[in-house]
Amino acid sequence: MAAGKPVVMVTLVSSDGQSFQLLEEAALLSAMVRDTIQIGQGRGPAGIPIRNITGQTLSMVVVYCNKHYTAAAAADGDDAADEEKKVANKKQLREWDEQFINLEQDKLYDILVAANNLGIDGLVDLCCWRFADMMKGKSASEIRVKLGIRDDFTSEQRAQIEKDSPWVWSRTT
Amino acid sequence: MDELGVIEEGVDWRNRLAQDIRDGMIHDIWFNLQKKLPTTASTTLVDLKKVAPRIEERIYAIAFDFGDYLRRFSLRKDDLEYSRPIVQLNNFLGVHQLYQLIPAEGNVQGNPSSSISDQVSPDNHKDPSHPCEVDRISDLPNDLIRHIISSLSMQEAVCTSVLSHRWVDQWAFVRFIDVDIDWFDKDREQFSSFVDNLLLRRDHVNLPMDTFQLHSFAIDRASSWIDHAIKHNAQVIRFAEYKRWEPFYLDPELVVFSSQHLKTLELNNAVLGTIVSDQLNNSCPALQNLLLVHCLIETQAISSSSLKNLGIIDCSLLKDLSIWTPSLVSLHIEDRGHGDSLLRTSYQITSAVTLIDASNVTTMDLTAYVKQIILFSTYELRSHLWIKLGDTHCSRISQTYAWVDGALTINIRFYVDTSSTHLS
Repeated sequence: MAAGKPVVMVTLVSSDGQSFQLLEEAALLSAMVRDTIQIGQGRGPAGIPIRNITGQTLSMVVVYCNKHYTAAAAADGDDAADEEKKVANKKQLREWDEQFINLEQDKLYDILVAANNLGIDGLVDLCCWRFADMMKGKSASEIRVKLGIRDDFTSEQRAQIEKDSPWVWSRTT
Repeated sequence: MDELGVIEEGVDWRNRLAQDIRDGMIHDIWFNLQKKLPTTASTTLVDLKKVAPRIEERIYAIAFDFGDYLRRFSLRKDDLEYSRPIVQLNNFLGVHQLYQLIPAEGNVQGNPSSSISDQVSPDNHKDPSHPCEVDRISDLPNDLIRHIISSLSMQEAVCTSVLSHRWVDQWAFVRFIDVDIDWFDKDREQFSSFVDNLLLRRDHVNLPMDTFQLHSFAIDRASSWIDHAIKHNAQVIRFAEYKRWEPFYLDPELVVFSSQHLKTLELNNAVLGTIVSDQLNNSCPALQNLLLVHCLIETQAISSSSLKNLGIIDCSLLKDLSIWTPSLVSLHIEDRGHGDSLLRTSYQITSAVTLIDASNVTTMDLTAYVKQIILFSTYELRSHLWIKLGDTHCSRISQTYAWVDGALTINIRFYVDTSSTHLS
């Protein structure tokens, strides 16, 4: 956030017509926004239309981008800072991330799909980590219940899988 | 040639050693190797007829006279004969039980045998994301599902294959591969067919790999598996051979270390031969980290120009080794003296490490040698260390640190008290 740099804002418009204004630099976390701006579009008052993403989801994404932009800018500001502080800041951001993503599954899916479409790698990572976290240490049937996955194997197919990799069943420690 | 290798008559004892004696030794070793390997039908996994001559060749090359040749062989045979059986018998029972468990898990949730499920359930109420009614996760694109699986351990990832059709193959396409023979109770057949299948599946889609990590046990084909990883642009390769088996021979006919991507290579209980090491030196321009643990180092030169971190831990150097790595930042040579295996004594030899050009080295950790010097009087290998700087011999490691700045030559000489090992 160097002084004298003009503040450029970008408007993102959700599929249901809600507008979100944020710093262009924060919006650039999204590869899709980056591409749009690079070809000289999206800076106008009409903003950048974001298809398939509702206002509710987009608002979360914007919160994420703002937070991560601010954190990165702060880290840039004191590059002479000691290693210890950097680690502490990183840890703090991670804690914020985990708190942020502690959501109901429906919202989590929406954000994951949105982040994927917008090309925000960090947020995709975070959502995937959250899903994986829900699966960790659970048996297959527990995961199915948890994530609503329908077991669509016939008993013959199941027997075949079990035959192919029997150790899968016993080794979950 | 040093004072130990010369015979009075000026004739190398090797020239006088008849081939049938060597063949007899090979046969002996081969016979003992067979006894050590669990008796399964898996003779195709490892060719002991090739392993035995390699052992003989190695000892033949390093022994300084015929007596020493025989002595090393007897140590080697003792090791093979008296070392604990590699696989406990009750493993067969283990596999048997494992099969019995399957129907229980397949039918209903709450497999009573799964300790994990017991541990996890009480935590569920803390989880704000309640069970999902709709299967949205299975509608995600493949790359996202694989991304999710990538955050799991390899074992957990494999277990997702039993969730539903959508998930059957997904785990095989993660970028981090880590397979351990311990998961198969050292059943080499199951392990190798698992890895074969995994790599075959990936081959169909020609998927790049980031990390390939394998703990194997007496399977020659592991060389080809490593080759697969290299050809699929793996950046990190970690390979470990089962510690109670022979050091793994990276077969140059099956694996070629030639890669623009390979950045880190870690070998545990393997042989670093001349061909492989030449390839690492010349055909792996991105190689930065090389870690050798419990390895037999047959090569005489490590000269990769990109190498930054080199670790040689508990290795046996069969020849003098020169390290000529201009980019080297950190050198770690350590010998914790795990004298529990006679393998090490049978390959014990006087060899020197020469470090040429330490201009960029900032860390040099030779700590363990200090220990060896201190323990000299009680240490069973009876080896101690001479460190040579220019023409000055020093026996104290603390003086090494003063040498590190600037380009200079450091010789580390392993001196083995052969007279005492001779007697034992």
